[in-house]
Formats: sequence, C-alpha cells, structure tokens
Amino acid sequence: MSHAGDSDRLEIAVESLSLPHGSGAPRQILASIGFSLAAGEIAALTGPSGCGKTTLLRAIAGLIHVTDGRVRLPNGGRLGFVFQEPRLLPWRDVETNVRLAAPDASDSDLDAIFTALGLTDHHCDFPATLSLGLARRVAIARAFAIQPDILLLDEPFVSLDAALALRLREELIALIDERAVTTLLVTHNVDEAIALADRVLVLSSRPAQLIADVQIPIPREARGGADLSPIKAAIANKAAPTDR
Amino acid sequence: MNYLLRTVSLLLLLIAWQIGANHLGPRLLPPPMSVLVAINEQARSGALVANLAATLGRVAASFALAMSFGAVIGVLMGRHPALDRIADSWVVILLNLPALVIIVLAYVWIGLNEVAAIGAVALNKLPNAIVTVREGARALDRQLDEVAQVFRMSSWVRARHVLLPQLAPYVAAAARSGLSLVWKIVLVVELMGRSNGVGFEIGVAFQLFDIRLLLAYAIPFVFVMLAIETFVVQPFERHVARWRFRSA
Repeated sequence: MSHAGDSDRLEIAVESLSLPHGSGAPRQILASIGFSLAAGEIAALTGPSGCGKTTLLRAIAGLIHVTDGRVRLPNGGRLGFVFQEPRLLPWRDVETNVRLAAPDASDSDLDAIFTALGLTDHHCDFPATLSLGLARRVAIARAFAIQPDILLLDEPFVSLDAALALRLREELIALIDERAVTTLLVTHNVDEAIALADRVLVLSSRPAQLIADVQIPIPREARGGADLSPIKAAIANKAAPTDR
Repeated sequence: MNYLLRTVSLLLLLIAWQIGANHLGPRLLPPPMSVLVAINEQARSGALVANLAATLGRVAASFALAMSFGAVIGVLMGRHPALDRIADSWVVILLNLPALVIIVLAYVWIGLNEVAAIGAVALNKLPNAIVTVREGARALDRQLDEVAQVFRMSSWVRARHVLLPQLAPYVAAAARSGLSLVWKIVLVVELMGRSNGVGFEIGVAFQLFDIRLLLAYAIPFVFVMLAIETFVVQPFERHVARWRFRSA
C-alpha cells in the first residue's frame, strides 16, 4: 500500500471504478484519476453534475472499495467527512452527536469549534429543531472535533441562501486555516471553488478523468478585490474541449 | 369527563352481569358479589397469589425468550437478504402453525415439564417478533450507517446510539402485541400440562363446572395484565419515542 513520498500527503491513484447500476451491468463512474494533496493544502474538486465527484470522495473515505487503484490517506488517517445532508442522529442532541463521533475530543476544543461555528447556544438542541444551516454547522463541527488529518466536504453550502452560504464559508475557512487541515472540497460551483481553494481539480463527465489541475496564484485574503475571471476562464477553457 | 364515562361504562357492565346472573342462575353465571367473595377466599388461602405468580413467571420467561431471540433473528434477517431468503419460509410456516400443535408437540417431545411449557409459548410468539423487528431492520437508515463507518464508531456506540434507537419503536410494537399473545397462550399451556397457574385452575374449574372459581381466577389475572400493559409497556413505548416529540 505504501508509496515513496511524503507520508502526510493524501495520494489518490484510481485506474477505474464501477458501481452497480440498477439490475444491469455495473456502470463505470471513474476512469483514470491521480493526484495528491500536500499537508494543509485545500483543493476543490469540481466538474459537471453527475460526473462522479461524490463517488471519488466516498472512495477516498473508504465507503466504496477501490479495487483498481489505491487511496493513501495522510499519516494517522483520521478522516473528517461532511456529507451533503447533515446526517445527524435525530435521537441525540447536538453535543452528543459530536461527542459520539469524537469521543476523545477535549471540552476546550469542542468549545472552540462550537464558538467558531456559532453553535454555543445549541449544545442541547435536537437535530429536528435546527435549520439546515445550523444542522450543517453541527456536521462540520463533528468533522473538526475528531481532529482530522484529512477533511472531505461534499457540497457543504448547497441549498443555503447566498448570505448564509457566504458566512458559513468564512467560518469554515477560518477553522481550516487555524488547524491547517488538508481539505478536499466537492462543489459544482466554480466561483466557490476559486474563492476557497488553493487548487482546483476539474473532472470530465462520466467516466470521470482529471482534465485540469489549476493552482490559484492569488492568496485567499486578496481574492475579494482581485479579478478572478482569467482563472475562471482558464478552468472553463481546460474543461470544455475534453468535456464529452 | 373521560374518567366519568369509563366509570359509567364499567357500572353498566356490572349491571348487565347482575341481570344476566339473575336470568341464568348462579350455576351458569354467578353474580358479581359472589365472584368477589370467591376471589377473596382464594386470596386468603394464598392460592390466588401463588397461581398468579406461577403464571406471571411463565409469561415473563417465554416473553423474554421470544423477544430476545426474535430481535436478534429479525435484525439478522433484515440486514442479510440471503439469510432472509433461507429463513423466510420457516418463519411463515411457524407463523401459521396453530398454537395448539406447537404445544402438543412440545409436551410430547420434551415431556410435561416447565421447559416444554415455556419453550412452546416462546415458539408461538417468536415468528411474530421476528417479522416485526425485521421490518425495523429493513428500514434502517444507510446514511447513518455510513456516518458510523466514516467516523469509526465502536460497535458498542453503533449498537447503542445508531441501531437501537431506530429499532426501538419496532421492538416496542412487538413487545406490546407479544405480551397479549403470550399470556393467552400461557393459560392454554398450563391447562394442558402444568399442575399450577391460572390456566391450571381454570381447567380444574371447568372439570368441576365451577364458573365461580373460573371467574375468580380469570378476572384478577386480566387486571394484572392490564396493569402491566398500562404501567410498563405503554410507558416504555413512550420512552423510546420521546425524541420524536421534542421536535414538535
């Protein structure tokens, strides 16, 4: 399994991945995909809808077994996953939901995470009483509480209104920066990818291949005022011709 | 208001009983007062409590057996389709086998003893528990399973906080229907092959044609089972569903 190179990198080398499709033959979702993330790097994974972004994320998390290829998690291998749906246990309150996933988390660390995500008043709330935005925050808190070596986020801002999404984005970035967590973020939104990531990985449509790997040269703090359209154009350009 | 109506309804029942007794004569239907005296007699001699205790012990043992085996088998069948396909026809057969057949076979094969009695009752209830819990296991949320897997929750945490809360409403439903089934079958088992218990006494009363004695056992027994239903089973059902109400 091990591979020469930094042991704190996330390394992905998938040759091919197929999933059962209805009662018929398995359908190939991923073609050859290889990339690696350095420790602390934040990458966004984007591509046309249905191309296999979520499948790749699930394969990295071990929810889908990769037979043809391999996934190497960074040292420690602790994985924080934020699913598209919050996926909280409805019969446990917010704090218990987080603690069950992260039994070793210290009180002070939980406090810090809850404060950073604006959850301090919600320790004892039950999931059904939370808005989607709050439930997402709890799911994010749960992923941070385990002190992940790699953080996987599946469309964490989808179905939130723009203002809420923007605020959550800022809180999330602050947490990621503070903890220097290697992060892979799936998003269909190129603007979001450019705003958040150090690097944007673009997948083709199914079976997905990596068709672009674009570094964002502008530091994140400076992106607010900068003209990002050339980068966006570059991504679109690389994505278009191979997008079969 | 509700309370009042309930009292009125009970009083009406007593009056109807008294009128019936006057019509049929005390041999066929002894009046309420006479049955009350008989209950008192049985209670004073200690026989009532001893027989009730024997029956309740059998109810508890066979109920516990059927529920624990039923829950485990139900979960396994609900989670593993291959196992479900193999065992499903056995469950269907057991579900449709008359209680009497199981009881007679148990007594013939195992002997007229406590093991056969309790085993026969448990076996009668078992398929019912399996089918109900299996429904629950089939409805388990795969998304939460994945959360447990990704966050590497221990099997204890998974069972206690992810699986059990989802299964609890089904287990409670099985328990409720199970209890009423079990206590009825226990009486038959006692009548056929035990020498104590409410069912045995009812058998004696039948042979002596003593309706007064029969009612003196049947009525307290029904009250005890009603009390268990009201003060144990129903609160348990509310307890396992309590998180649903917090969301209101």
